Amino acid sequence: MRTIKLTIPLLLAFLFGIFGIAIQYTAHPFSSDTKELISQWSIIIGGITWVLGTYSLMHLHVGKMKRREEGWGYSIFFFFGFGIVALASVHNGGRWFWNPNVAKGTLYQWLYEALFVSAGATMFSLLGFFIASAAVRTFRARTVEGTLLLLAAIVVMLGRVPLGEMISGYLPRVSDWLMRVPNTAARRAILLGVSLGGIALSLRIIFGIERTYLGGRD
Amino acid sequence: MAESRRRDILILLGCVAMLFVANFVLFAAQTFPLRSAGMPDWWKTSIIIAGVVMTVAMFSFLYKDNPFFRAAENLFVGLGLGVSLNVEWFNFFKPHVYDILVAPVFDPTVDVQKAELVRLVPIALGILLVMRISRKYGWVSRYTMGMLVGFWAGFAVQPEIHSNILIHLGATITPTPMPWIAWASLGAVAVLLCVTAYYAPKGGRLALGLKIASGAAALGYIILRAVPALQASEAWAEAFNSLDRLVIIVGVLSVLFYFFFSLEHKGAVGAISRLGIIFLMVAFGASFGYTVMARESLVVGRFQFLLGDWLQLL
Amino acid sequence: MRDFRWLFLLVSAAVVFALLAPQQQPGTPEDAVKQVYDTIESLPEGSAILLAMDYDPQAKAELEPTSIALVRHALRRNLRVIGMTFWFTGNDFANVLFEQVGSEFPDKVWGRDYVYLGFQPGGMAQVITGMGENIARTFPQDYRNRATAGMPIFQQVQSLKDIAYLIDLAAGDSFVGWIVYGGDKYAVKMAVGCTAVSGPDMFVRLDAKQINGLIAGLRGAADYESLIGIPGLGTSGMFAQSIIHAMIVLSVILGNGLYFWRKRKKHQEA
Repeated sequence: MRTIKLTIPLLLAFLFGIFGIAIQYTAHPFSSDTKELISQWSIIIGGITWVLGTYSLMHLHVGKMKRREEGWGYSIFFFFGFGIVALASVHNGGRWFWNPNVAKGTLYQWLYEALFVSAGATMFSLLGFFIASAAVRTFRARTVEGTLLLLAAIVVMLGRVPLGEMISGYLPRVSDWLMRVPNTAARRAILLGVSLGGIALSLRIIFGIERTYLGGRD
Repeated sequence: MAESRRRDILILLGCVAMLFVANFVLFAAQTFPLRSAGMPDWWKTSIIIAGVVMTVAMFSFLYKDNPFFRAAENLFVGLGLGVSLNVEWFNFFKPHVYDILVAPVFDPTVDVQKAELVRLVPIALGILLVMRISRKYGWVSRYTMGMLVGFWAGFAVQPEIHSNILIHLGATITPTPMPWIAWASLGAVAVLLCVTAYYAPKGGRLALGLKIASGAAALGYIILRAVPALQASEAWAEAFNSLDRLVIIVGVLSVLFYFFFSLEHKGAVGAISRLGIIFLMVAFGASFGYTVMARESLVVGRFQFLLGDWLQLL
Repeated sequence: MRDFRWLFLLVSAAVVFALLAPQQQPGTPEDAVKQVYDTIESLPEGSAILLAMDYDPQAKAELEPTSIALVRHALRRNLRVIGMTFWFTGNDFANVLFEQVGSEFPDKVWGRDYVYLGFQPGGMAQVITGMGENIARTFPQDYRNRATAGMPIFQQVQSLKDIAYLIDLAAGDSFVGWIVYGGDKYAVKMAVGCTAVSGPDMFVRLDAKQINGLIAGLRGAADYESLIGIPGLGTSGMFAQSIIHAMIVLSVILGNGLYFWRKRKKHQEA
């Protein structure tokens, strides 16, 4: 049973992994056609896995309501939001879902622009207030390194707005230099390290050392 | 407690009243409904009013966590899932599956192309993947996962090496032509930094003086670098460009040294790591500055909506 | 726990004041933004550009002004514009943007001069690789479920190799996928418009010439609007941005001043 449940999937990962590496170094039209085919298939498989995400979220809210957890009543809004958009999508402006997407002037469009866009944009804008309070509360020059961080942040914050240019023409130029030189150097080093780690992870997956993506206990 | 609850209710009623009054004034002043080609555009008007209600419900969290915010938050998540359904159907299922394999079954004028039947293979693989939901049969999803993850893990190796390593190594190590005076200045600063690195752990006035001198040298270079007249000069620009490239090389190496924890950060390695920390602090400070800018832009965006689209003041 | 709601009110008041104040002059456009502008200006008429609208309502404030400016500029230059996205939550308003800006040019036709393809699931590497081979087969239908195979725009543009300029408007890290699997692999000239959060990461790519231009955040949008001569939300937001930044910088300096003063006082008392 272990062979069927674990060994064969790992063997498939290995064979397809080697194939994935090999195909990058093949200039034959077979390589191009295969890449396109596998991309198409991956898109179809990826689309079907939407079901997993939906099931997961629904299961969470249903469970919350069943167990009467704290705040379970708000899950009604979740189902209401989902239900009304789903119905609007099925209705498709009167042309129904099996016809092309009407897009303009439909209930779905209204719900999207009026509620979804506003809520989403506002939710993230809350961060602007919290980051301002975080900066005021915690940004202290306690050490030399902390002071450097603080100074770099101040120079960049002022250098990137017209006010900085009004204060001094040097601010935008120094800010630009900080981004192009020390920032680039540090981030390049991080990128190199992360990329090497990523390649190592790919090889670990191919050789079956990394198995967490398979899920399950064995 | 009662006092705080009374205050919350008053604030809530105040906000609702303000919303009503503002919309009433807009309608009374004939700003609303908005007009499109002279005709009332109730569609756009209703979108804006509903958007304002959602915006205010979300912003209410700034005062305190409250039922309106939580209701709006859950509504938003539900709407998001509904949006994903719509997009999945019209952008994926319909073009890739329904129109090709299902619609022809109901439409006698269109045949299912035999070549398209091969799509049943990825559909079957996708169904296997969805079996992950089942506790008993979840293991069948491993077949699809193994093939998919294995292939794309292998596929990623060459582009990662090329785009994220080789190109960046090449960009780091570049020619640095400079006049001899620039090389001499660089040499002097390098000596200063090495001497500072040697004496810094010992502490004392000499160490402090050397640290200040090193900092002053760095600051002097940064300011000199920003002088417009020097930037405009070709000779100076070339020298500065080369010096910048050398600073980048030193920065990349020192940060890599910092992250190499297999060697103890003592002596020369420790000194190079501390230099790496300086580069990291500048990068993180820049990151923080940009993050503040990003988040504040979102606040500005929301107020542009409230003042511009709703109150029509902009 | 200290109450920072006074700060939230202050920030709000500052933004309201700044937005209602008379328009300020934009700053000098950044070089990285100018490079994007110059590249589009230099493209021959009829060239195709691909705009990856990889953002959602959360990043609308920063990236929508840039998107609008880019589509306007491209259509004004008689370039062909192809749009798509990897963010399903932004799919619908990206289409609205294309339709709205497209309608400003009555001589431009959907499917011939510009098209918005929509969203594809499956992952970036997968979709970009598919587009690298054939765009119309990867997106068999556009956002409105019209077949792409017969569209005039795809008679000249088969794959990413036929794209003259690729611009990723990225709210997240989609630019990595575009650079690794698109720009570098198929030798497509690339630029990135990103939120300011990703801005610092982009300088590495700029330095390595993996991208030839960068439009970062609201400042980038304002710069681009000033270059094309059509001020929009980016330009109008910059004064507010300046005020808030100044407020935060002053608060941080004040906070630090207070911190050191209290520390010194404690030290003296001890």
